[in-house]
Amino acid sequence: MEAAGRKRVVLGAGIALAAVLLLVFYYITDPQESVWMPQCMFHFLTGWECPACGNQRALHQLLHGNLEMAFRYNPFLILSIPYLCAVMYVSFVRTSRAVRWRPFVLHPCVVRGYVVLIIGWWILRNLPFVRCRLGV
Amino acid sequence: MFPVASGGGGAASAVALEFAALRLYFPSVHPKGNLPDVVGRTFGITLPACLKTVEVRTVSILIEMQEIINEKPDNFLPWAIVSTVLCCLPFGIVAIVYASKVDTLWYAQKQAEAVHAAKQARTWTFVSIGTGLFFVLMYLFFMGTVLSLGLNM
Repeated sequence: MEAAGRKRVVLGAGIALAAVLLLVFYYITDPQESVWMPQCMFHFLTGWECPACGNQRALHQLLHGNLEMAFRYNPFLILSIPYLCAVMYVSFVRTSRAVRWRPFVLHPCVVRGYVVLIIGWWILRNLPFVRCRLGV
Repeated sequence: MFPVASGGGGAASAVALEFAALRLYFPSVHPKGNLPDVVGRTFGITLPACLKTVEVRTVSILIEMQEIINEKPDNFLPWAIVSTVLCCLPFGIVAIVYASKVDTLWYAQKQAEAVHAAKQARTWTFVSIGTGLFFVLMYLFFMGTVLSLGLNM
């Protein structure tokens, strides 16, 4: 195997290992209970919530199969995961089906739509009435 | 009719979908039938004149091959999204916006700008991840100090 290919395999294996360790860590640790889990700096400094606030708690609940609690902590994470999986699929899988779906999933309009959703969710979750309703 | 063979007798809707996908790579492809011309020009090769139809499956393999041969820059989009979702930073959004431009610029024959956008996407992704890690370490250091001094938050 050539050097570039080997480097790619090692990098991929490293990232996969790190991802699995991270998932195991979030399965074991409940961010709600532990003081060591890092808080969001934006939330810490401003008191407002950023689009990703609640992701750690949502991930913990999701790994334990509590979809409803995960959705209450951060619904946007639950909506992001399918899109992230689709992007990973068309970017890293080299089959002709993946290549054919690539222009749709990576279309600039779709990606910018996702960015607009992030910013919209940022504003929406800080509106007083939405905050009261989600309130966890 | 556009000259796209369905490749194994697929349904008409599947052919339409594949043609729509090709239109995103090659915007100047016209249903009246200049696919061999456009594909040839994009890849810098002359397809034989007798070739009136190009199979979609062949084209997707050609797309893959020329991306590897011409070293199309990696658009870093998956990592840009991961860094935005995990690190919750505006830098991640900048990275996503740059990453979304790479493929479009590349297929619009603007190779230099595509490479520039890819570099920007890469840089902003690392800035985003780095800032996230920095804040996590700062937080752990802060909590460690507070707890070791025996303060109760």
